[in-house]
Amino acid sequence: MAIQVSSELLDGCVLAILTDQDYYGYALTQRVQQAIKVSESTMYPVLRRLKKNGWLTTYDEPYQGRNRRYYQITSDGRAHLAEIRTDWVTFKAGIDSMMGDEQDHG
Amino acid sequence: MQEFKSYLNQLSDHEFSEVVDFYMEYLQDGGFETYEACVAELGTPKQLARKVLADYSIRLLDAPEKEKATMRSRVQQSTTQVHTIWLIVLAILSTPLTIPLGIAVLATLFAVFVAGAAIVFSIVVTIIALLFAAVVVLGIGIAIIGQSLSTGLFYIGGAIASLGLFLICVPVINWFIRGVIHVTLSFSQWLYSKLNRKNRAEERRDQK
Repeated sequence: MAIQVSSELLDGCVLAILTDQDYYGYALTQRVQQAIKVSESTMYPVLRRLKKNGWLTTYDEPYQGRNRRYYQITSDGRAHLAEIRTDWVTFKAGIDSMMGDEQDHG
Repeated sequence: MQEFKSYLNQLSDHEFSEVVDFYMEYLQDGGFETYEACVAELGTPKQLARKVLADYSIRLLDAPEKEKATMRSRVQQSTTQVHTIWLIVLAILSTPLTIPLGIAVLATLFAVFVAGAAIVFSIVVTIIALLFAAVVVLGIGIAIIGQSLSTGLFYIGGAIASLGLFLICVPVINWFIRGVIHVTLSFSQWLYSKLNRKNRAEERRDQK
């Protein structure tokens, strides 16, 4: 798979993952990497951007004598996620109308 | 980690500690304890640092206009752009590439930079030549005005006219040079994103 995931989509994916529960950096990266191919160094800029835009907040929790930084989605983040979802559905439908394959797996 | 930190000294203090904390935590949570394991996961400290710096500068440029305006004046912006181009070159240089691709990329980049630099250089030389000529003609005009009033006035007039022309051109040239820098920057950003895509795919393929 060599299709590059745009930063908008990465934002959406990360926000969507965070709607279920809060994650810390490493676990979040692992979670994203289960689904799509991103390099480790992609995640930091994404998280930083999301935080800067107020779509997520962070809090530290002690873990084995050090701090773990957890990421938590905000209500702005949820609103933004809904926007990205809408855009994505439109985009996906458009691509599918041209490229959707014969087996029709949706 | 020490090495990584030493490469990041250009970042602001706050940014610096955020980045370092993030990767520190990442390595601890991932259980990468030896230097080799860390390098296998994130690349050498140098590579990672350059990636961070390149991403960071690109993000600064992508920031909304109003934010940019408050952050720095236009001249500083040009300087930042040149700086970013340089960081991108470093980032590209430090990413492992297949040799033919690497050579092609470097050759392209080199060509673009030489072209950009040549354009800027030629403009600067032209300006200097024009300015110099105008000053010389002005000098001649003043020198011979005692011998022949009309010839002297002609020279002085010509010189002052070209100086005026030069002053009119300055903003245009300024704008043009900025444009050249900007195009070069966009090109290297584009190249960088292309390369990154290739790299991620390759990294993953190698790991699986």
